[in-house]
Amino acid sequence: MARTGTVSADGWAPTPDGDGPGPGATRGRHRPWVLWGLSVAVAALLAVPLVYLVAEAASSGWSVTARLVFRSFTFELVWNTVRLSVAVTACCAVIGTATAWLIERTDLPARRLWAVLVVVPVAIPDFVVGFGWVSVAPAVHGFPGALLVMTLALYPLVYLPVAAAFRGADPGQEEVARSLGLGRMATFRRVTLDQARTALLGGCVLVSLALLAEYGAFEILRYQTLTTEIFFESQRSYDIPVASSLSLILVVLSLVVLGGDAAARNRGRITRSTRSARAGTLHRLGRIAIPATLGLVVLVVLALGVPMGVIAYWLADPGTTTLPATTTLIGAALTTAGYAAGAGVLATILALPVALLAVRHPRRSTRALERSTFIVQAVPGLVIALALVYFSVRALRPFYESTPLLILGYGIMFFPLALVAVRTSVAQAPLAFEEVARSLGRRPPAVWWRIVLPLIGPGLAAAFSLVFLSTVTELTLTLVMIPTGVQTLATQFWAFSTNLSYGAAAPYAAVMIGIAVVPSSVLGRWFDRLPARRAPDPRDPS
Amino acid sequence: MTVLRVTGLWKSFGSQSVLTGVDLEVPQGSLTAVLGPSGSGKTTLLRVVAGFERGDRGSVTLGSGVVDDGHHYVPPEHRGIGYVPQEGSLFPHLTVRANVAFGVRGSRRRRRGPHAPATLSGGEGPALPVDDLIEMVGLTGLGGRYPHQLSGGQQQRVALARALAVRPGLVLLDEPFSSLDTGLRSSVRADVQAVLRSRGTTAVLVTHDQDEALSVADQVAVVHAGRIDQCGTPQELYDHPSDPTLARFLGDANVVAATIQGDRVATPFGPLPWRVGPGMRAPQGAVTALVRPEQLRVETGDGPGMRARVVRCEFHGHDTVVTVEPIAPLPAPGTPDGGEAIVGSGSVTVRSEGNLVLPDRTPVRITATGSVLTWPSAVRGAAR
Repeated sequence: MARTGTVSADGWAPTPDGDGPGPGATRGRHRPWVLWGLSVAVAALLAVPLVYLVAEAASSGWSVTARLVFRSFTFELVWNTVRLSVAVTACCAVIGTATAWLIERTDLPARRLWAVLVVVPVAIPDFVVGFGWVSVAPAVHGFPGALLVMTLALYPLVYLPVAAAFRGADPGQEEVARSLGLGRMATFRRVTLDQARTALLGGCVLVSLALLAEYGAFEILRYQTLTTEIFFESQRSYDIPVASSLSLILVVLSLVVLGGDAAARNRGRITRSTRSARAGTLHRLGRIAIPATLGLVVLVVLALGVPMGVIAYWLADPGTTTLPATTTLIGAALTTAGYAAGAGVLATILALPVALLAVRHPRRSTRALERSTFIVQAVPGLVIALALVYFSVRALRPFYESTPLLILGYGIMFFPLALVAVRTSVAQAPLAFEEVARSLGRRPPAVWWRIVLPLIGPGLAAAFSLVFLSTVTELTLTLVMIPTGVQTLATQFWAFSTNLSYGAAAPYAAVMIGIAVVPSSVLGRWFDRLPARRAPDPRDPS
Repeated sequence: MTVLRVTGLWKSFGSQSVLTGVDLEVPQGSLTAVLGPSGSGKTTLLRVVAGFERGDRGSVTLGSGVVDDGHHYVPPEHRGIGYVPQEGSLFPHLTVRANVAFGVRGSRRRRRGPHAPATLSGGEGPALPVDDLIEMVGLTGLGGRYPHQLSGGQQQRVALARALAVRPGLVLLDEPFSSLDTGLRSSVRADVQAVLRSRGTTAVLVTHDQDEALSVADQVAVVHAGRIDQCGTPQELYDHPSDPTLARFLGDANVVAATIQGDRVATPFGPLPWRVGPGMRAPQGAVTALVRPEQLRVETGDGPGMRARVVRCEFHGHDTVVTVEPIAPLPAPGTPDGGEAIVGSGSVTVRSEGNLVLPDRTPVRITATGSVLTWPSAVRGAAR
């Protein structure tokens, strides 16, 4: 599954605990019926995959579904999926947190360089990492192989939020703990880790969801999970009842992850007495700096060096392929960019009404609606694809295997990403600005043009870019929904690499990563810059 | 001439009534403070006047034009008002100069809407040069800065300049100083007051700070539970609050039970001359009386006055606030059934000039000077 940028999703997730309307909100204005209507329509659209699962199970009969679900083979698939998810999540939690602590809280040499290097792997699609390992070390496969590859591909999802939490945490708390007689280790365990707890949890949720949805890497690594079996049943055996009953299990597992996250999150809230973050004093590593640096070197070599090195190796030694290319590199790149642009625009437009409603009219009902749209995070791209194909075959035949339907699939899949960015940007333009502008004699259209758009524009661009980048590296949904005879960078790479034509596949991976890495770093800078130009925080009770 | 007239204004949000019949008149050139605790509806009143909310009943008249009477509604951009919100709400993507100029360029934009009656005459005429405004609020040379490069006080000054730039007939200020530090607050307040006065601008200031309301405004309207309780000059309000609750809200107050004895009133501090609020009848018999802390003196040794013990001494630099309690329970005059003479906490607050150090439990005598305001004994807030 492509996931460039999902990383920040959690940090910006909606606050579960707003304290009544802030300055950005209306004071009990008339109900915004238009926004409500649009938002409900969006929520309904996002619910399509879930409707499909229920409809399909009902049409083949619940007894049939139950029999398919409770097969011993199903248990094996669930066991494979769950044990890998738990193991990888645990490894990512440890590696991500340790790396974040070293880079943010200690006097490790070259911290800024490391901060960049350990994040870059997030831009490399998981199936490319898998390809990197398998093509040079065929011994990497099965459970150990999947554990290695997925940990290396996913640990930045923990690193990024935890590092952000460390940066924003109140250093005074550690100092107070030390002054109360706690040792360094006890302080780390009871204070530092606790500061990062919400972020760590959010990161682990992202890792788990990514694992449940992943297809390409597991196919390459010959590790059978629910997703690979769903793909096989739906695309090779054309056994839709089996595929959809397995999908049901997969979505339930994802919902359990999301639900557990929400439950754990509500148990404790981070409170912070002061707003201004004072930079804490850095822990002195002393002699530990050497093993710590070595550890980071190993991590970066494995996570970044291996896939990049392998791609470079295959680029230098293209070899030959018997597989005829159905597209050129440039053709695939253009197709990919076109799809990605469409997806970015669509997801941003879908997110706008929901974000406006949630930010500007914060009520229990609007928050519930907004949160309901995040449930789509629990629906893997493969399941979205199956649902849309199902409905297009039944009701919208002309759209079957069409470009609009594919883009709709991307739009649904990456909606949560877009919502997070759009929400942040809408919060940059509280209603108070519009009121002031109107009191200064400007009509509503002029106010939108001169005040609202300039303020939310960068955020809309960020939402577009996040979705764009994610779409570029998306494989699973694309494989199912792409119109016949068309190839994106990801699908063409996939066609070559599954045919063991590694040399032919490498250029597609290189272009994909090139498109994904550079804009990601620009985006990262934009998110970093955000607080500086921030208006009074609308969530801040005043 | 009256710039703003609010008549019988009602406003509710869902089932919650926020304004329940507000009447208010703001004369030209005045600075009127709308004073009330949080949740009293004062900000809602301001927002209805600005046009950000619509009233349910009653009317709002700006100048000679009705802008909201439940049927007609003039949108904010046609009302000719200036608005300074609590946080300043400077447009973060515009420089100071662009912020101030936001409403200025092309004053034709301030044309009337098709169904908008003429509102405020102040909205006419050429706009002020932006740089003059920036200079006027004391920010010369900072025109090129962005809002996040300014301090909180500077941001509020820019917000004022921006509101004044369109030559509004009425400026509405919504707690504009509450987000500032104490020291900065009084200086920004004084500057804003000076700017408004020098231009003869009519302004309405919403605040929950009685000190601010009394020191800055020409007219104070006290809002309580969605209504204007009392409206008058700061002196009128301080000297003749309509009931003990208001008296306490407008400053420290000792409310005591007392008895009229001819031209004097018997209080726990001794007999004193009495006065009543405007339009009130001369009192008879048992009354409730207001004695401000600055009317009281702490004395030692023998003599007249209330015998008391010191509970607390707070030194404030310019004065000392002494809290005392009567030594023996003090029955209210004329109530042999044991009602207490001192209404409220049972203690008395005395404000004494300079430094006064008295250890706790020191026996003292409290005497009073000046006249005391009296209400009928059944007035609101007189019960313990």
